[in-house]
Amino acid sequence: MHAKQRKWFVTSAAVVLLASVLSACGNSNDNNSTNTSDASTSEGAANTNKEKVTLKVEVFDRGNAPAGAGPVTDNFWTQWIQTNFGDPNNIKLEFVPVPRNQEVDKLNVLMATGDAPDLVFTYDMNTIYNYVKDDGLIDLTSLIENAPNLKKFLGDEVLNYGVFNDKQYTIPAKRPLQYTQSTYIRKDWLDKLELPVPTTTEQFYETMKAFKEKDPGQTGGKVIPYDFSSLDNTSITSPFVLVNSFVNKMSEEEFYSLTSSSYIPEITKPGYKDGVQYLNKFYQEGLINPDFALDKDGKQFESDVANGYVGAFTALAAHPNLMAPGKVFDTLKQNVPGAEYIAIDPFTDEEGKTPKSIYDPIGMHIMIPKTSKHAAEAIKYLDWMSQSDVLFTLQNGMEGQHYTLENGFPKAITTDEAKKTFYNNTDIAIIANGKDFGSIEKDIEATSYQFPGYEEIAKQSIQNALKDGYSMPRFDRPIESEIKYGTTLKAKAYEIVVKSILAKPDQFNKIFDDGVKEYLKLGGQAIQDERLAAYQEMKK
Amino acid sequence: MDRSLAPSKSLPAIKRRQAKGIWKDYQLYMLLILPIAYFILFKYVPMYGAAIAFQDYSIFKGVTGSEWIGLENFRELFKMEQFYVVVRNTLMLNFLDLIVSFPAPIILALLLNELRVAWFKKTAQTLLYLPHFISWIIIGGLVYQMFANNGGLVNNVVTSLGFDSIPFLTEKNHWLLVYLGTGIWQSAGWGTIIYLAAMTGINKDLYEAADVDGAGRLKKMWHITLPGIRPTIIVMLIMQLGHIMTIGFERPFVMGNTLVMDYAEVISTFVYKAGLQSAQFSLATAMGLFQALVGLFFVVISNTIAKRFGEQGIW
Repeated sequence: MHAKQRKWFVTSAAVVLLASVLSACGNSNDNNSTNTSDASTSEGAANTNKEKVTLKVEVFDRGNAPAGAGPVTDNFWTQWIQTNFGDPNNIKLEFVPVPRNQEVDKLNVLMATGDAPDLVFTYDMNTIYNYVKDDGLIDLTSLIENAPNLKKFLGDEVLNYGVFNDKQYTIPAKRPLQYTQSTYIRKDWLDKLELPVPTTTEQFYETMKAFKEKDPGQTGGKVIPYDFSSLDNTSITSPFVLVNSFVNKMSEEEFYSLTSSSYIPEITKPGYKDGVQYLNKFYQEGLINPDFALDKDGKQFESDVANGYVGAFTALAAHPNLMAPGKVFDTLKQNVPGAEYIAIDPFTDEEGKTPKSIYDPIGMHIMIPKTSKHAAEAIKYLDWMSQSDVLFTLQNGMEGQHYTLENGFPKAITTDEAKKTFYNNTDIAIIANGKDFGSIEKDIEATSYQFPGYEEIAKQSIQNALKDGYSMPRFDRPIESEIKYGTTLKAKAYEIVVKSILAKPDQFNKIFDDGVKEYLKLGGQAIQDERLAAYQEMKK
Repeated sequence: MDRSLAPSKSLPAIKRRQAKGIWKDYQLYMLLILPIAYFILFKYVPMYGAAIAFQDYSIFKGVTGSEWIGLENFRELFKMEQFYVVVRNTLMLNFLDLIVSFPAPIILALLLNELRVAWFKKTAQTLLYLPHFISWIIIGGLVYQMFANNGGLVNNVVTSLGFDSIPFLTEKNHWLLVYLGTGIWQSAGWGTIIYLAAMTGINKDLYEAADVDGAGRLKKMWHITLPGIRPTIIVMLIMQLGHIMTIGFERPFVMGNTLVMDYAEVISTFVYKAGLQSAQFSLATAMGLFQALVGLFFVVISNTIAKRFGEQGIW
């Protein structure tokens, strides 16, 4: 009896084992067959083959899908694209979600496993340099010749940003408006204290002092006159416009060698220290949030603004996190009736100008990995998207359902019903970073209509953010040392700035100067030298 | 077993007997195939990836195609100043954690063991376990709300009493205290489980005998309970020492901030930054390999010491 039982047990175990092995084989067979058929379709793209090609496209997931809307991988717009682009071309689109704030990590993993989508993108230049160096991307130089709409839409200047070693390795998205940050201030507080709108750094400081001392918002001591969040994050606010306005005039050579790409604070620029010291003064007098370094995702900042504690801040102009329906400004209005922000531009330099760094005329770089078997289809998709009517629909939605025309510009409809089918369209229309209507004035106006109720502040903030803007110097080859030391140095530079802002006044000089020395030793000097060499080479 | 090792048998005979043993119990060995396959497939096969520590690894060429460069990555690693900082921080945080967090569950288990009211004991245990199930991300949020300078719960009390707010999270030594305290809060309750289980195995006669001899509760704890769970404590200690070079990623990453990087930058966060964020995969792997070697060293040493002191050890 006992032996019999054991036998039965073993037999059943063996059966289970066998079954799992068999099913695994079956699966892999399935995969193989689809793969081969995919390949054959892409080779004979013109053939009216019945087999569908699956085109995988990366899409940012910001975790902001409203209730009732589908996820970024399956919603109103993915279905619309399938119907209008996929079905006529016998292509099945598959959207691969990548979390917005981990895009580089996730992309590296996807690329390493050889399982990357056919269309990938990133803003991170070092990642792109690495891919180019390791020969991981398809050379698109000849492929884009088949994409007349795409070429016409982007133009040569934009496309040129995607040329590395004389080959078109990336397709940069077009950025019609190059604005970054503007400063915002509570209008109702200014009115209450009968103060003018500050137009110089000095006036701004006086205003902040008044906000602190008189507490016009009656926050019971919770007032944060000038707020920003932790510097080492992807949130929308930072004090760098203020700090950078202290930087002195430099020769072109200095400008090229002391600037850094990938958002490393440029602590070695002459005058930068004075800017940090100014913030240190703000800290000593209680004018900034002493916990800013702890607010790593910027959520505390948003909640403080929405609760009406914040007098002024510098953040990305015309940004949805602030101005989109139901976001920070709307919440503020509910919490504090009468509260209103206006956009200002107070941080003046030695010449009375308000300089600030702005973006290149491009957005992210779109790439096709070497592992992709569907480069032709991927380019076709981008070309389709570049047609003005398609792009317009992707960016603005359906007339009557998502927008109404006002002065010839689309104005967003912001009902909950509309949001359900329109929330991540900027992430779907990957070839454009902003809407293009032909001129800067028109573009600004059109952008402002995205934010019903906040058109004025949106418009003003963009104008501020563009005023006296300068873009980053560009080299025709990657700076190797920056790729190597970039991440370490960025963390170090942030650490120096943060510690200096929060230093005791008598220790400020020591902390900042020692920090710069260490920064140079950790690779900062190597980057400067290489940049200088590259500059001199370029000018020859 | 003993018989097969008897000197009278020749070596081939032993082999034959062993082979016979395998054949006799073949059904049991077949059952073992699945777990062994699991370990080979998921624990050993992925180890080939460690090879990239000796390569100039390119994600597109893969492990087979990348160039071999010997110990170059290690040389570069040992040249980096940051390397020594993160190793020091990892050892420091883990060592302090060992000192404060290791005794905590033992003490807690001793206390719980003395509880006689069953429902109170059960409830207390459940409440103590709960923090273990909270993710570090959430704990990080809780800590921020509790200890922030401006508007943190604790500092609100401190300032309302007329004192200056305490920089719990922004000054590195204060931060260290919060880091260690949070560790105890999160793990002590869960750690009691294994000790409580060990305590149930102690012979009840001993306690009765001690009662007869007139021993009090403290005496019984000291002379019966603690010696009873000593082997468990030793095994746990060895395992902890084996982990002294490995540090979880989430806890330092979530709790750290720019101001306390002097302490909060540890091996795991460094590997994350160098490996995933800057795509220096080879360097990060070299770091990981180095970490594993040191960890192995600690396990062997502590195991040997434990055996010297007449304990069982873990092998």
